[in-house]
Amino acid sequence: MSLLSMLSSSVLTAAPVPVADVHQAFDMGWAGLILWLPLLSLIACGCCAMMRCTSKLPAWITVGSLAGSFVTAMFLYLNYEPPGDVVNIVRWIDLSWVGGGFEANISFYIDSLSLLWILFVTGLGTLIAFYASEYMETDLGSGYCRFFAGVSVFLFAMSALVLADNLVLLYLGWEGVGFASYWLIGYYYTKPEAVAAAKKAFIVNRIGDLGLALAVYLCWTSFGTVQYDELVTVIESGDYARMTDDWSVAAIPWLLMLAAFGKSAQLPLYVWLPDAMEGPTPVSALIHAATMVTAGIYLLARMYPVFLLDGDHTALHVVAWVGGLTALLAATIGMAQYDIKRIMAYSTVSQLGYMFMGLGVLTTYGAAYHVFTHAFFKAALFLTCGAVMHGFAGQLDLRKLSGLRHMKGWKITSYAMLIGCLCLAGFPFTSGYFSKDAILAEAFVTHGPGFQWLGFMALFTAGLTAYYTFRVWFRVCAGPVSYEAGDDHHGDDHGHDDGHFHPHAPRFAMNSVMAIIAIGALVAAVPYFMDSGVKGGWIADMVNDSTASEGIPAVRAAADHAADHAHGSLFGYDPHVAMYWVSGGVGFIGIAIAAWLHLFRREDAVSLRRALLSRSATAWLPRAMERKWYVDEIYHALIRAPLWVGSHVLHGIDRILVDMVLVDGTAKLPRLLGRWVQPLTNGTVHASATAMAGGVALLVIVVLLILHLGVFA
Amino acid sequence: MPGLLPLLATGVAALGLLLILLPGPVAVRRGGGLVAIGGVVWLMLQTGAMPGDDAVAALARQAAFVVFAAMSLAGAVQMISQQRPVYSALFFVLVVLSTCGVLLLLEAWFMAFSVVIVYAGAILITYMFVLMLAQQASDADHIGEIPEYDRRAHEPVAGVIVAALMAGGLTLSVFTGIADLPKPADTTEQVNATATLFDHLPRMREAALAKAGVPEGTEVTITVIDDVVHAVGGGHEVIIPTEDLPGSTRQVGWDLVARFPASLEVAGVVLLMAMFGAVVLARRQIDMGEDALRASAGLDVIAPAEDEGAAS
Amino acid sequence: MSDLLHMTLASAMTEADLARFLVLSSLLFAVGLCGFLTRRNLIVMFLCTELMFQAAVIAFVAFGRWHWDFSGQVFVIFILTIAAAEAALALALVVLLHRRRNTLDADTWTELHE
Repeated sequence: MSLLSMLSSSVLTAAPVPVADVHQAFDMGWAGLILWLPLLSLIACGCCAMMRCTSKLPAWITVGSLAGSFVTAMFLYLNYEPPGDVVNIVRWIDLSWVGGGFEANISFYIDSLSLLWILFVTGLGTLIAFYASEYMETDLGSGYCRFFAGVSVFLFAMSALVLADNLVLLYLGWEGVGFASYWLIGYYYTKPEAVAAAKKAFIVNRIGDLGLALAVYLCWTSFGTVQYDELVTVIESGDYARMTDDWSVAAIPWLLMLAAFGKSAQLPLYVWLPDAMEGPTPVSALIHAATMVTAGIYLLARMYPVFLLDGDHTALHVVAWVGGLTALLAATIGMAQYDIKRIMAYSTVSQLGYMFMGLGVLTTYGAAYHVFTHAFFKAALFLTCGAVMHGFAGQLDLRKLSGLRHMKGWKITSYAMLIGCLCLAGFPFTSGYFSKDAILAEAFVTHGPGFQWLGFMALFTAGLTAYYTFRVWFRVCAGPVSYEAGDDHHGDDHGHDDGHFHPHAPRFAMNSVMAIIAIGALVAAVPYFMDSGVKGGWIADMVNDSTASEGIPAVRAAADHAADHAHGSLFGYDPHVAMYWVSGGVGFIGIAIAAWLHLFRREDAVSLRRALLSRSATAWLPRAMERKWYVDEIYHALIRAPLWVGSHVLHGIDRILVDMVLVDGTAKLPRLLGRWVQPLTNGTVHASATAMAGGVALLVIVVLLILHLGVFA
Repeated sequence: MPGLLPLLATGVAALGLLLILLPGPVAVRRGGGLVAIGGVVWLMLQTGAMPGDDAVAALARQAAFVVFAAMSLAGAVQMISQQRPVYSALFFVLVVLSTCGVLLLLEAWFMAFSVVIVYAGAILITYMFVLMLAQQASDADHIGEIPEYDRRAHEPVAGVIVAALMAGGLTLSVFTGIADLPKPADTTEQVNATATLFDHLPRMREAALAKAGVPEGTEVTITVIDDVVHAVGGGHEVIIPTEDLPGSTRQVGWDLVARFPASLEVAGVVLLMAMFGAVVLARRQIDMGEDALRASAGLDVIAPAEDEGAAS
Repeated sequence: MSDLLHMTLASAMTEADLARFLVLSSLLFAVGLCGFLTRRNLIVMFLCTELMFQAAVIAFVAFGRWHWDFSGQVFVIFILTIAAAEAALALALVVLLHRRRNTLDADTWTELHE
């Protein structure tokens, strides 16, 4: 649905419309509906909870309001004209009268980049909310209300993040989505793992949020504004340098990077995302795969001019390498997991790594395109995984599920998953194939420290991706039919009445959403070829109109710089064309290995693992991969253990120094003095004599010290 | 700061004193004694470091002083740490005696002996009497047992701290203030003072002149030439030898009578009143009621009814 | 002994001499004070005051010798007077108090409370 409308809209924009007049005619205040509708939905869900509503009302409210948001976003898109526009919704912080000119309003910065994001955010949000209306039906009641309230909060915050015209509102949204993520990961708050995962996500994100907060502050001190349009103007004019010293300008990209790595789960802050799978699957699909985790890419793309200020692009090189390494690491971990949702989580981390690599190798449109396609195919994968989990009582172990596509009612699930897998694996002529190639090819041709190696690494990762993706599909959907129920008994009471377990297949809402999104994942390849005036088609258009690319001279210069070799060669061919063949081939190899080990001769996988484990030289490999390269353990040793020790030391200091010495000591001091002085007032001769003689002695000493030694002089 | 060393030394001595006073093993208390002696010796050595002392005579004087000082201090510490009051009193006698030695070093002959006589002879005997009186009365049922209040010191820590502060303050004042004193009386001033007094004592003067061979009735003037007292006049010029000049006892007596006669009278009155007071206080008091007192004074006994009437 | 004493006759004291006597005096005074503050026997407490008098005596005489002024020794006579008077009165008081409580413990008297 979303994709179709998107296509039609893009066709519509092809016709030149006098948008300036339209802008004059329209009061753009209605754009605020994108923000207000989820907020209304939140309030309505809260009211439902208060009225102890046990129907599906909250779901319909949420789906309706999100659809309203999507339609509003669509209207915005239809009214969009390339220079972009700032739509003021509410005056929020306006200190321009002070003289410093600090202004941060609830205003929308409508340009192609924010429109691209808001379209798929609201579109997928609507679809997944609809899916969740069925998925969450086992929790009808307060839980249902809580869930949809959380989704509404998320959409509200995400819209604010994407549409913000200044960094402060973006920060509000950034924190808001973090909060919504915490809310929804911890949805099953009676499960200790869910609570721990929620806390982990929140705390790890705090590290990134610190970076963002500092970056916003430094932007203000360095450039004198936090609004994008003014920011771009200032950077373009180049007179920011005399506003402040160099280091603070140079620090902004690094802080933004920290923020993006936290929110988008990159090394070293990716650890929260796999654990976040404790939340309900629609949440994983929406927040932790399609939308929220791409906020980091959005942030970097939005602030791209700041990254290009440094002529060496050091920050971007780091972004590229971190992305590439994260992609490889997460892929290797994903290969060895058995929990299909976790595999998808690691694949998300890995694909996000690709996107950062794309940003790093100066192909913002490649990154944005991968965000776009990934949003669809990863949502499809998660939703199908959710359907499996829903139908098999929480069963997620790929060794205990098989032959799903032969089972009644699971066709759509199986083939939607197949489409998702094909896209993720980069199967030729799927959307993922094109978006990944856009990044891979640029990695080979862009100059940078070891970018050739980065390219090969990414290529290898693409092979791994194809392998682990199809490992899931071959195991779960292909092969002979067999299954085991999970240990999650909610919602399958009827399955246990007659002694053995009956899986219940997804019904209309879930099936339709899975189908739509799967088709969307396939069709997402089309924009790449639309409006082919520029390489990259519609997506490139969307990105190039924005601050992320070509909008300002710095970016244009960088792009020109890159253009010298953009048409260089890879293996003697045009890099993009060559990459089609190479990555297609790598994908095939991966799929073939997966088919061998997990479809045709599944026992070989077991024996291979056993063979690896039996030799001490190779035993570490599967072990380390299954233990996720011990990253959690390393973090535990490097961060948690020292913090634990430090906290206990501080606790001890707090107890001994602060509590005992300062607080109790202060309290005891008068008592102690009193106890000392008490004997002096008990009325005996001794007491009076002691006081008198002591006083005289002290007086003598003090007088002497003052007179002769000048102690107090 | 140089002034802090005496404080430190008194602190060490005080620590030793504390060890002696606190209930504990004998070895610890003896060690405390050693520590206290060490602190005192350290303090005394610091006085030796002051300028202006030289020669063997000074050394001998110092040696004699150290003996007397050590005796008096040791006696004093023993006195306050003895459990039996009688021993305390006896050690006080030791203190008085060694103090007299110190006074002798200061050429206060008369004072030295009068202190011995008055203290050791009179006051201490009074104390002894009272002690025996009290002991006899209070310990009738457990004779020879030391009462608890003599065995356990009262707040020894506080007492020692205050005493140490006091000692520190006083010694500090000595060390810091001694330089501000006027110069000591040198030989010339001392001989001049003696000669002046000699001139004021007619009988002693005549005896000395007669001994020196000056005929009676000769008008002579007492002058001091080169720190020696001469009697000049009538063609005579004789040296009055030191032994014929008034000693310190005469000088004290002259000062007492000539300079402080009123104080002397007051001292006599004080002694008289003390005697009366002692008699009044020590008299066994018979507790008499209000009525009996009034009756003994020859007044009417006030009846309760009349009391009310008087009130209205 | 007398030679030793006569050696010092009619010669000036040094500052070291005076300091020595005064330090002895302060220490004796402090020990007496300590005894007064720590002993609980009334009689011993008064003995300790006598000890402090001794310290004062030494200081008076030492200063008198320093200035060659015999009023220092005259004041020692007054001290003796006061000491005697105090011994008489104080001991009479002690006897009185002892009669009241049948003990010499100073701590039994707490009437100095307001």
